[in-house]
Amino acid sequence: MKASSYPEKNIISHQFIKAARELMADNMLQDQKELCNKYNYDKSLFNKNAKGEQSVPYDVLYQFVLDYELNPSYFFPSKTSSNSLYLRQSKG
Amino acid sequence: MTEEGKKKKSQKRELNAVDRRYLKAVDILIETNRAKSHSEICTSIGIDRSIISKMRSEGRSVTMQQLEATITTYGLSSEYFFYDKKSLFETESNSKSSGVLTNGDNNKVFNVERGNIEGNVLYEQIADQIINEAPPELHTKINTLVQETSKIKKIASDYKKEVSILKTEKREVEERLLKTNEDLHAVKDELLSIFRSK
Repeated sequence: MKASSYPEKNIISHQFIKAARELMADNMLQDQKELCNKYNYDKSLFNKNAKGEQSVPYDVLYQFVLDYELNPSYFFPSKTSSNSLYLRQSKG
Repeated sequence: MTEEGKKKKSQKRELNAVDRRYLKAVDILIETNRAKSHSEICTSIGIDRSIISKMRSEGRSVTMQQLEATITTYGLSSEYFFYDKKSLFETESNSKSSGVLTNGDNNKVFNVERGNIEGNVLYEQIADQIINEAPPELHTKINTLVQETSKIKKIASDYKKEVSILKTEKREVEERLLKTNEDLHAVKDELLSIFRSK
């Protein structure tokens, strides 16, 4: 599924899936299974997030952001703050 | 209700870090006169007026959508809700941009000054925003469309009135027909009785 076809109202879930993929690409995360296991998150829910059918729970997103030191603005796009995934720009 | 039931009902769920920061943020919004009351905040982001008080009394959690709506509506920094020692408000220097930004995929994300992603207010604002940002040559066309739309609305309203009048007339004609039909039946019965009596 192309990210651009995601419904606007599920922007947070959209960004969550995108972030997970970016983390995998950066070898911060091995795969989707690792993410699901780490946050005790059902794989089917992850797939529903990917399809835009379900929102990511706040506790999962919260812990996810803290664990990987991510930039919250990436998930809540804003006009003034940076939309890069990582809070610190040292990665990559 | 059993004691256990009462206890269960009165038990308040413990708020998570995001909820606690959210409650603090709404208080700051009121203190800094960015909002008049909790109720106003709820209304402006399109949620039930009692949500914030329920968060305090019942330990109800804010949803990600509500959080996003609040952040967008009041121009808050999302970092505040996740990390310690972060400012609630975004820098003022950039806060007067067009209100349309893009996410990672260059999709437009509309910043709603009042109203939220689920609220109807958004659509009018988006419409205004699109019109304002449209190239000047389109403005004449948009104005023509707006005028045409209001003309069509006027015509539709006139037709509605006409239909209503015609319906009333139809009802009257039907009543008259019914009466005539009854009269004719009475005449028929009278004629039959005359024939039978002969």
